[in-house]
Parts: sequence; C-alpha cells; structure tokens
Amino acid sequence: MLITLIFLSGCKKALEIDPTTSYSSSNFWTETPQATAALYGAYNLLQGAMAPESVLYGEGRADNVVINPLALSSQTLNLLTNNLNSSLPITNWSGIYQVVNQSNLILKNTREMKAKGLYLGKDAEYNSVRGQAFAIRAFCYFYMTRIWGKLPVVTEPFLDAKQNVSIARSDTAAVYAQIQSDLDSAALAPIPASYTTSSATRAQFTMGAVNALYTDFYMWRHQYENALVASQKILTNATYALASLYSASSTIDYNINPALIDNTAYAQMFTKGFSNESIFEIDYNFAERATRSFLITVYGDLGFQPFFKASGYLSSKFSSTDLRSKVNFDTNSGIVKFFEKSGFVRGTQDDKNIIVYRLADIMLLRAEALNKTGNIPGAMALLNQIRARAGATTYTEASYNGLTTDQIEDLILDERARELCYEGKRWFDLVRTGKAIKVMGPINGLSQTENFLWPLSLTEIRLNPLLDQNSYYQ
Amino acid sequence: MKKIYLMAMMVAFSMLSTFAQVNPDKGTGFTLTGQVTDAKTNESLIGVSIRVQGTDKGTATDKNGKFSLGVNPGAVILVSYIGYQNQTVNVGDRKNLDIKLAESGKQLSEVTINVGYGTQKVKEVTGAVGSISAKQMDNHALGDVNSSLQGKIAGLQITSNSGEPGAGATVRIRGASSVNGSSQPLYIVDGVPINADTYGGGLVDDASTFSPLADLNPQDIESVEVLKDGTASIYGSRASNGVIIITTKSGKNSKKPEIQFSANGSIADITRKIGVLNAPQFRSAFIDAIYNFTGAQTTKVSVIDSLHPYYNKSNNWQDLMYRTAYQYKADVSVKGASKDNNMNYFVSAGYKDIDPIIINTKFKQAYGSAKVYYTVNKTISGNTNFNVSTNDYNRILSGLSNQSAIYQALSTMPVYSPYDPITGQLIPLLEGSKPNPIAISELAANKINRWRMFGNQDLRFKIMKGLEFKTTLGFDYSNTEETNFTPQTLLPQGQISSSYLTTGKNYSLINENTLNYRTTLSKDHNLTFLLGQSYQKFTDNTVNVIGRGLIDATITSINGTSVVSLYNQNIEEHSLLSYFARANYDYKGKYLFSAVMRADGSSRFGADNRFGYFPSFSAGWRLSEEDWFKKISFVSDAKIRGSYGVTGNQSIGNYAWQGSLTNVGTYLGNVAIVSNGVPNASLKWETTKQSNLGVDLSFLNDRIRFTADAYLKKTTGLLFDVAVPGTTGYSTVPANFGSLENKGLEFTLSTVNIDKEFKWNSTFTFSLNRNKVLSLPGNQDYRPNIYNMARVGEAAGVFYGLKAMGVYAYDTDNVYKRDAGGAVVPYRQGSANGSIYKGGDVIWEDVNGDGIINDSDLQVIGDPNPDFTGGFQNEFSYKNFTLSTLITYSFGNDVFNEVKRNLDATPYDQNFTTDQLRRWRKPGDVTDVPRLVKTDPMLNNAISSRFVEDGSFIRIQNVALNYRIPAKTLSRLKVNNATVGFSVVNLFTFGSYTGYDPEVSSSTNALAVGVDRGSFPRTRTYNLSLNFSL
Repeated sequence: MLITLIFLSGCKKALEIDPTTSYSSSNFWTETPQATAALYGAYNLLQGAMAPESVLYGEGRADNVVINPLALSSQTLNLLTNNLNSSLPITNWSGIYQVVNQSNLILKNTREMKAKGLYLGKDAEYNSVRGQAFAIRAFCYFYMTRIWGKLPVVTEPFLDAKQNVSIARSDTAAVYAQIQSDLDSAALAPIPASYTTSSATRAQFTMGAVNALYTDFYMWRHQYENALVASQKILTNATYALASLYSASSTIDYNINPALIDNTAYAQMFTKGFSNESIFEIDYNFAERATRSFLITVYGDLGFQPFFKASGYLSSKFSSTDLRSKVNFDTNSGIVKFFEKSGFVRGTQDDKNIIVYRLADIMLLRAEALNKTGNIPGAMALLNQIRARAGATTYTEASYNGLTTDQIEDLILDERARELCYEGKRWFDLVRTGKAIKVMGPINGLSQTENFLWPLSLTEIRLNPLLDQNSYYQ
Repeated sequence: MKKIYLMAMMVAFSMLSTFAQVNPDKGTGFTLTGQVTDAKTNESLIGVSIRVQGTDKGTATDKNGKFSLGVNPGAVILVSYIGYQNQTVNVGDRKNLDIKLAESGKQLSEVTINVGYGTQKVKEVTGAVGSISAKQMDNHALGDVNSSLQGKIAGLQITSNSGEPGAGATVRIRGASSVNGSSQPLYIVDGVPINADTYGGGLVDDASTFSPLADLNPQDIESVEVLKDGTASIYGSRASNGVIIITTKSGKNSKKPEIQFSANGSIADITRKIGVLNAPQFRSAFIDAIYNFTGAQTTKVSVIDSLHPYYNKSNNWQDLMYRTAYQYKADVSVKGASKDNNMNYFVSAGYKDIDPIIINTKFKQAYGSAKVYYTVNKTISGNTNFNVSTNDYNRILSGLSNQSAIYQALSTMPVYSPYDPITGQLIPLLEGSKPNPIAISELAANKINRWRMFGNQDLRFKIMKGLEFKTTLGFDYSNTEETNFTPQTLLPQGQISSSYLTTGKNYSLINENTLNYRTTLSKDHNLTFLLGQSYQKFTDNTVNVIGRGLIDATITSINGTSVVSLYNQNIEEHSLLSYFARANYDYKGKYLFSAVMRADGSSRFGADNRFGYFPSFSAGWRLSEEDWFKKISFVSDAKIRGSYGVTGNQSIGNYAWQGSLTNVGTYLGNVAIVSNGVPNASLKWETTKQSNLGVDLSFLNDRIRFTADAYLKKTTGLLFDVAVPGTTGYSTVPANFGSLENKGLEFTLSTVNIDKEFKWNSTFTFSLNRNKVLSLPGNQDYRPNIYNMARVGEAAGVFYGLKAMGVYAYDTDNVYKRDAGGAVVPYRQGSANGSIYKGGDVIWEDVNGDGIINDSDLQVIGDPNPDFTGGFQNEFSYKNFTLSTLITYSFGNDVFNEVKRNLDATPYDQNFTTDQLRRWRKPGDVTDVPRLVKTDPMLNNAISSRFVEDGSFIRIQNVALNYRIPAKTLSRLKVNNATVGFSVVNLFTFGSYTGYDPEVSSSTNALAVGVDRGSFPRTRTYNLSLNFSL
C-alpha cells in the first residue's frame, strides 16, 4: 500500500515536464521585462511582415515602377498588369495579423500585470509598452484596411486552441473606429515622444509617429481639418527636420561625380537610416542576426534581376536640377534610392530600413489637406519647401494662380511621386485621391473602383468560412 | 561486500557446473552419440535440438550434425528443428543413432513469436500478427529494415520516400489511422521502444527524409513481428498505427563459436530518366513561350544563338549528373553458446560504403552489435544487448529548389556548356544566374554525420515455478550533426552564402518491470498472466546555428561566416508512465482467450487528460483440435480468431498543451519574444478502436497455409496541428479533431508447390484497405497544403484541384452559353472580370456552371491511397541452387507529379518536359497540353488533374540466385557453409507513371502523401555476394 502511494506521488511528478528553453503560457507575463521583450517581439514580427511586402503593396500596382525584363516573377507581373487573383502569396494577411495578435497579447497581459501590482512605480514603462502596442495595432489595421477594405477586427488575443477561430469581416466604419480608438489610446497613454537612443526614437513608435499615423488616417478618410491638426503637431516638433540635399553654395557637380550624392543627408536618410527627418522606420540590421529588408530583390542594379525598374513616366517628371533623380536612379533606370551609389555590398548591406513616415511625407499630406480646405498658398509653400530642398525650381504664385483644387492636387501628387517614390506610398496616394483609374487605366486597364481593393487569400477563405471575397474577385 | 559477491559467484559457478554435468544417477547412464541429417538431401543439420524427455537435459548438433548426450537406458529423446517435423526416438540401449528429419511446415505453428512483453506459439495467437524470420528477409545486403519488409506481410504497406541511402519511408499498417506528422508504427527492438521518427537533411529543408531504422543492420535481425490489430493495446498509447517488433540474432542453440562472413559488391545505376527536351526542341518551346507572352521574339542570346560557344550544346543534364556507381558492404559475426545453453553470445560488425548514383556524393556506415545471455543460477538470468551505428553522408539537396541537384539536373537548359569552352573551367552559375548542377554537387556541402546507440540490460528472476520477474533498463541515444553550405559562387542575385549547422542529441531511457506467471490447472486449463509497469523519458537537445557571408568555399562551416544570423538551443523532454496487464487462458489449446489492459500517462497532456486506458480482448478457436474436425484429413490446422482493442496515439508537440513563447531574435539590440504556440489544456489522446476477425488454415500437411483477416478501425479525436485562419496570429493550433475509418481485408497464401529434389515455395500477400474521413470540425473541408485535402466521406489526403477536359483548339471553342441576343458568353478565368480563355488554354470543368473558373470549381481529382497492395515471393531450389524472386505491387493509387508541374509552369527560364512536344501551337491543334506562355497568365498549370498520374505498379523487386558450395568441397577448406549469390534489386517496374518512380512521397503525413516533389531517384543494383562461416 505504502509503495503504491509513493509510486503514485512519484508518477505525478514524472509526468510534469515544463519547457526549459522557451516560455510556456503559464510562466510568461510574470515580470515586466517580459512584456517589454514581447513588445520587441511585435517589432520583430513587423520586420518580417514588411520586408519587402511593403514595396509590393505600395508600388506593385502603381506607375512608379515597371517590370525588369530580366526578372520574370509572375507575382509582380500580376500586380503590374492588374491581373490579381486570390492565389498570389501577397494576398495573404497572416504576417500582419501575427503582429496584431502579439499586440493584443501585450495589451491584455500588461493590464492584468498592472492589476497584480507588477507595474508598481513603473508607470512610464507601462505607458510606453502599452502606447506602442496600441500604435502598432492601429498601424496594422490601417495598413490592412487600405488593401482589403473590410477586416475581421480582432482586439483580444487568441489564448486557447478551443477559442473560435473564424471571425467575419467588419465593415470599414468599424475598422476605422478601431484604428481611431487605438490611436487615441496611444496618445492618451501617453506614448513617449522619444527614447533614450536616437535609433529607438526613429525605429519605435513615438508620439510623433502616432501623429503621423493620425495624419495619414484622416487624409485617407478625407477628414482634412483633423489631418491639419495632427500634422501641425509634427511640423512644430523639433525632433523632425528636413534632411538636406541641395545646397546653393555647393560646387559639386553630381553629373561628373554621381557617387558623391552618397554624402548628402538626404541620401543617407535611406542608406544609413535614423535621419532627423524620419518619424517612423522599421530597422533592419545585418550585423544583428542578419535581418534584411530584401530591398535588393525588388530594386537595384538590373543585372541582379530585381523585380522592378524605374518607369520612364516617373523619371521624366524630374527636372534637370532636381537632385532627387540622382538619388533615385542609375543610368539604366535601376532603382537605387536605398543603396549607396558606390561601395554597396549586396550581400551584407541589404539591411536598409523601411521608412514608414518621414517629415516630407507629412508636409505633402498637409499640403494636400490645405489645398482641400482652400488654403492653396499654404499648400504651395509646403510643396516649395520640398522642391527647394531638392534643388528643383519652386512654383511661383503666378504659375499656380487660377489652377483648380483638383489641378493643385495633381501638382502635389506629382511631388509626392518624386519625393516618396519607391517608399511604398504611390498606390495608396492614387486610391486616396481618387486618381487611380485616371493614372493606371491607360497603363494596365484599371477601370473599376471595386478593383482597388485586393483579393483575400484563398488560403484564408478556405480556412475561415465566414470570410467573403471582395466583390471584384468573386 | 566484495567477499560476499565473490562467494555468490562461486556458488553460482558450482551450481552451474553441477547443472552442466551428465547426471550419473543409478550408474547405468551412458553416452549416446549420433548424427542428424535431412531425410531428403542427406545434408547434415546443424543446431538441431536433442532433449531427453521429462528432463532438462539436452544438447544441439554440431557443424557436422553430430551430437552426444548422456542418457539412461530406455530414455526417450525429442529431436526438434525449426522447419522440420519433430521426432521422438526411443533410445533403448542403442549407443549410436542416425536420425533423419523430414522437412515440414507443420512445425511453424509451434514456432514462437513475440507478441509484446512475451512470446506465444503461432497456434496460440489470437491477434492479427504478421511475422517473418531472417530467412525470409531480403538477401540484399545493401537494403535496410524497411526495404526488407516490403511486400512480405499483408497489411503492411511501406513506401520509400526516395531512393537516397538511408531514406525515410512511409510505413502504414492497415492504412493511415492518424493524420499527424509521425503516424508511423511503434518500433520495438529487443524490448526497447526505439525512436523511429524520420529526420530531415538539416536546416535547409529539401523535403528529404531519413529513417532511424537505417541505423539497424538488417543482417543482425532474427525476426520481425507486426502487431496489426487491437491486441497491440499492450503498447497502449503508441500503438494505434500498429507495432513492429524486431528481435535481433542471438547465439542461442549454437555450440562452438561460429564465425560468419559476408561480403557484397554492387553496381548501381538509375532506373530511368525523366523525359526533358533536347536543345532544338527546347529552343522552339522557349521561343513560343516568350512570343505567346510578349508578342515579340525573345532576344535571349542563349536561346537564339545556337552557334554561341557557351550555348551550343544539347545536353541531357541527367546524363551528366547520374553515374554507374560501385557499392559494397561487408559483415562479420561471431556467435556461440555454452554446451548447456546457460550462456550464449552474438557479436557482429558491418561496414557499408556506397557511392550514390549522383556524382560527388558518398555514404558510409558502420555497425556493431553485441548480445550476451547468461544464467547466473537457477533463479537469475540476464541479457545484455548493445547496438551501435554511425554514418557519414556527403549528399546533395533534392527537392524543387534552385540548389537541388535533382531538380537542376532536369530544369537546366540543355544548351549550356557546363565547362567554359575557352578555359575548360567549371562554370558555377550558368549565364550568371543559374546554378550549374555539376557545380552544385562539387561546391555545395551538405553533410550528415550520425551516431546511434541503443541497448538494454535485463535480469530475470524465477521466483517460483511459473512465476518470473523481469526488470529491464534500456536506452536509445542518437547524435546527428547536419550541415549545409551554399557558396557565394552558386548564388544568383547577390544572395549571400550561408552555412547551417544543426546538432541534435536525442535520447531516451526506459525502465520496465514485469511479472509473468504461467500455470496449468487440472491439466487442461492453461493460464498466463502478465503484470507490468514502464517509465520512459525522452530528451531532445538541438542546437541550431546559421551563419552568413562566407568568403569562399574552402571553410564551409560556421567558422567561415561573417555574421551569425541565428543561434538557438532547444531542449525538450517528455515522459510516458505506463501500467499494463495481460491474461491469457486456453482450454486444451482449443479455446484461446486473451485480455489486455494498459494505462498510459503522458507529459504531453494537461493534468486532467494525462492518462489514457487501452483495453483489448481477443479469442481464438482451434477447430483442428476438436475430435470431429480431425476427420477432415486434408485440413491440418484451422483456427478462427477475433479481437477488439483500443489503442492510442500521442504524437503532438511535447509542450503543445502549454503554449509557447520563444526568443526569436532581437530588435534594436533588445531581446524579442514572440508567442508561437497556443495552449490547449483539453488536448488528449487520440484513440483507435479496432475489431479484427481472422482465420488461419493449413491444408495437406501444411503444404498450403492460408491466413485471412478482416478489420474495421475507427480513430477518433485525431491529434493534429490544425491549420487555423491567419487572423488568429498563428498558422496552426494543437487539437483533437475529427475521426476517420480504415477497413480492409488481408490474405496471405503460402504454398509448397513442388516438393521433390526440385523445390518450389511461394507466398502471396494481398491487402486491401479503404480509408474514409468520418468527421471534421464543423464538417468543413480541411486543406493542409495546396495538393491534398480531408473531406468527410473521402479518403484522407485526396488530391483536390481543377479537372482538365482538354485544350481549346480554337478561340471560338470557348462557349459558356449564348445570351438572349445569341451572342457568345465565354468562360472566364477567376472572376466575372477575368480573362477569356482562348485557343490553347485548358478547358476546365465548370462544376457550378457559372461560367467562371475559380475556387468553386475545384473537385477531388485523385486519391493517393492504393486500392490494394502486396507481394509475391517465390523460391526455387534444386540441389545447391536457390533462386528467389520478390514481386511487389500497388494498384489504384495516384501520384501528383509536382516535378512536372514545376518544369512546365515555372516563371524562370529553364527546360521543359517532353510533354511540351505535344503542346498546342496553332489554332486547330487538338492536344492535351496547353500552349506555352511565359508566366502562365491563364493559370493553365494550376493544381489540376493534368498532373495527377496513376501510380499503380508491379515491381520486380528482387531476383537472387544463390549457390551453396557443397559440403565436401568446403570441409577441405575447414569452412562450414559457403554461398555465392548474384542478385538484382529493383530490376524492373511496370507502371505508367512518368516521373522517376511511382513509389514516391515527399511526406509521411497521411494528409500530404503522394506528391512527387523531386526526391532522389531510385536505384537498380546488381549484386554479387559471398557468405561463408567457419
């Protein structure tokens, strides 16, 4: 009898084995550094979700790029020819929803940790972690709704395999409400304005980044007054300043020495990252676990078979004095904006940061808002600031007097193309301003607004019977 | 302490010596000598057991068939030998006896087989157990355990995943009853459950799999038993896919040491090549593909300039990549026993050196084993057993990647010259972007180095008559180091060179304690009880390192890298605690009953679901023991069996129920932890309930033996990593879901067709299994990948896709319907706004009739599960010659030819299959191959019935001719026994499959089977072998 008892108590232990090289759901979320590590986990997932998908989403269907004939990847061709289908890997949103779930986990668990008193005397840490988690979630939903429209809105983490896995899509109003609420929560937390290292201030969400997201979000929704308020907060924030490119006093002839453009702050904004102009970028660092943004698979020397090369349409839009064309293109229409013009090592330097928001982007969005609210001079002043920085001639009042709001918007849109090309903005710009059909129709036959949205991935539709395909692809 | 030990030893020895001595009681004993020979051939028989009836005394014949034994006058001796009829001889006062034994299959019912934690005579077995002995195993020394079992046991289907040395295999006992990754049977070697989960080729996943069973030298195997039905519940939670019990050779019944050598030399080549285009055919196809896409002629120099020094060849790269290779293996073993069989031993060593058929590859393996049995005294005996093996493999990657030598040998454009025509140097990247397969085999480094050891120590204590206690301590250890290296020179697009290292230490320790009690009550009631307890603990310790940026191909290890991009160590443990009991009862050997109960607790489940209970019950009726039956003289043995049992499966992640959060790297230098596993506290055992009805019949004095079984197996709570929508943030969650059913019939017919000086035996096996998915969550279709699916009512893993109805000959042939105005409404691709199919596009079946070909038109287009499988063995012998053949067959299974789909549908510039010779080229062409368009905008190469092929085959697996050198010749050389043999393995395969081999599967998972993803082709070998013993 005694033996049996010893046996039974022993056996209970014999079958209790906990992981030793990873955490289980029962021993995580017990100390605050764990929550912070989970936040970096969210950024890590964001790294994976955006490299180089952000280029495909933002440029693949638009007019800044054409196919590089040396590289025939059928997926990019499908995008460029507006022949999308639900089997394309790019239609899968799983990578972004992983970031959402990670944010949901952080938000739920930090709240519980606080209730247990784990954040006692650590308010700043608590607000920082939560503010960033809210901002990351807002970013993900905003990014996705521009691609797929209606979305399953998931705000609670998936905690147990027994939980319901099939969630239907909510209409865009509900998605927008969620984004608004998350942005408000981040601002209210408040999310820090900066971090101890300058790289973290640029590559983690800050109050500035939240305001940039607000601006972009309000512009998308055509809420111009709100956009003006949000963008104003960035323009008055000393953390952000335009990186210099053109200097009247400079004697360098970039036509003779094109590689010297590498030395400008503007070019280094893309090649080195963490520029003063940057509001939020995703960091990639080869020396740190060899993370790469894979921009060389989409851009660069044509001989290396990247997916895209520069469209002639875009390159013809640069004036001869506009130094940005020296930054953007090589002589074969290769897109080299993100790469050093000399000394670029393809293998180890394919870790250029993906710039999500920078000051010039917000200034031009603001110009768009000013134009829409009747302040054309204000809009043109911002536009000219961007042009002057690049060495392009500025618009005189005479040159734009009498232009309609729509014509001014075209000017701004053209400027956005020149300034922000290849940064994953163009397609969303065309859709936001309602000019996608006008611009893309002649190029690839885009003709229906329903076609703006992308198809949902077949894999997702198969796994979740509650999902409906976007109407154009049914 | 030491003294006591010494004394105990002395006591033991003295007991031993008395035991061994001839009992000189009554002073009338004398020494009987004699010889035992085969009644027909007069060859002397070695190792024949001679026992004095009613005593423990006994001996065995020596190498000349001679024996000597101390007996008393009037003694009766029992002469028995496997495969021969027993003889009882009244010695009288004869001092010398010549005994002639007649061969008989009859005694096979007396053969004992292992049924798990004990043995039973074949005649007593009530479960469905398949069994083969060493003699029936392959003569082919270069094979492994899996290949030597193929086609020999009804209900056991073994599909090698590739032709690679040590390749993994999909082993199914009575169909797939699980759908998780390792739904393989449980393997027990000499009582120790060993790790049999296939492993991959390293961190670079090329879909190749390797079997840990290849660590076992097939030469060391004495017998293999396969528990097929519910009686396997004695192994409880791991037995739902059946149990394969392997017993290795021992020195039992041998006398003086016997050394056995065998040597085997083989020449191997590829069995067939896949049809790809030659240079002119390729140029034409490529030009079409570009023209059909762009409307312009291609400007690609390598295609249009057939005189260009670099592009003027017409190579079939398979000819350059595959070779006729030499392979050999040598084995040596020694066995022996003490006269009284109180001690015996078997030791062996083997060495295998194989040049695989792909150039620049090498496989070497060495084995060793030792088994010692000893009787300490009347009470205590023990067994020590040890196996070790190591292999070293320099391989190439298979699969469909651009670094796969297998795939590049097919896809590389035929026009290229592998060597620079000017310098003669190897060109690593053809046209600057495509890895040259020869360069891949020379410059890339993919290595596997593996050590495996397993063994056990058991001690048996005879507590009283019929009661035995046995305790076993066993271990299983493997250490596998796998490295992959791709040099910069083979990488296009400025990708960077990488070096991968993974080392896995994998070990388990097991302790089992059993009590066995055997008794006979009032002569007729035979009872056996087994009570046992077992604890096994498993540890996996894996270290992964990935480094990037190596400067050259000189240092290929992690040491050469400029940055380490991944390093992690993953230690996982799990344990299994079990209690089991079995009771067997028979009445006069006529009515047989057996009941089993096992309780298994696994650390893989939460506290509430940890224990599972696995009972079984079986019964048999030996009709032939009934008096009334004995009148039916042509039936020599008849038994009806029935069983019902519950078995389980616990194959799921070790910590799956607890969820997991893992360090995945850093962000801005800070540790980043990501949730990558969802907990499921309700995770529990998968259970399989199986009923079996069987009959064993023997006719004409065992010349015809027939076994038939019918079974019904139902598995519920399938344990699986279920794919979930991406909105959850995960790709899979561990869960119990759905149920499925397997039912089938098995027949084995063994006959002695001719039994004269010329002898002919044959064995025919046939198995038929029908698999059906019974339920799924919400009864929704489940699609784990793009090829296979699980759908209620269909077999597990059926192929799912579009059904091709032909190719439009003209644009105008595309008519969905006419609208009210009589205008043609054509079929469109993808959506109502999709492109219109034109001449040369595939005609797809529009299942829902909406005029749009899309996801709703997918249907079941094939079934990877065979309708029936089996084998046919024949053995012809005449004097010293033996010719044996083995034919295996599989009918009704489909294979999805993904290799072909990749070759013909790729967006990259590469060669095509010879199907393209039939492609649609101009309006009016009637064909089944659509027009070739770069990038395939109309998705003519979607997953469809176009790539589903019939995988049925009949294979002449083995033909072996052996000549036994006559004893007279040998005796002069002091050699006991010598055989020379010639054999051909995988001589010919009849079947219509167009890939390398119809027996192919890139996965052992039941829901991902039957897809050919470019695995290593199968080999045909011609073998010359020599065996002799001293």
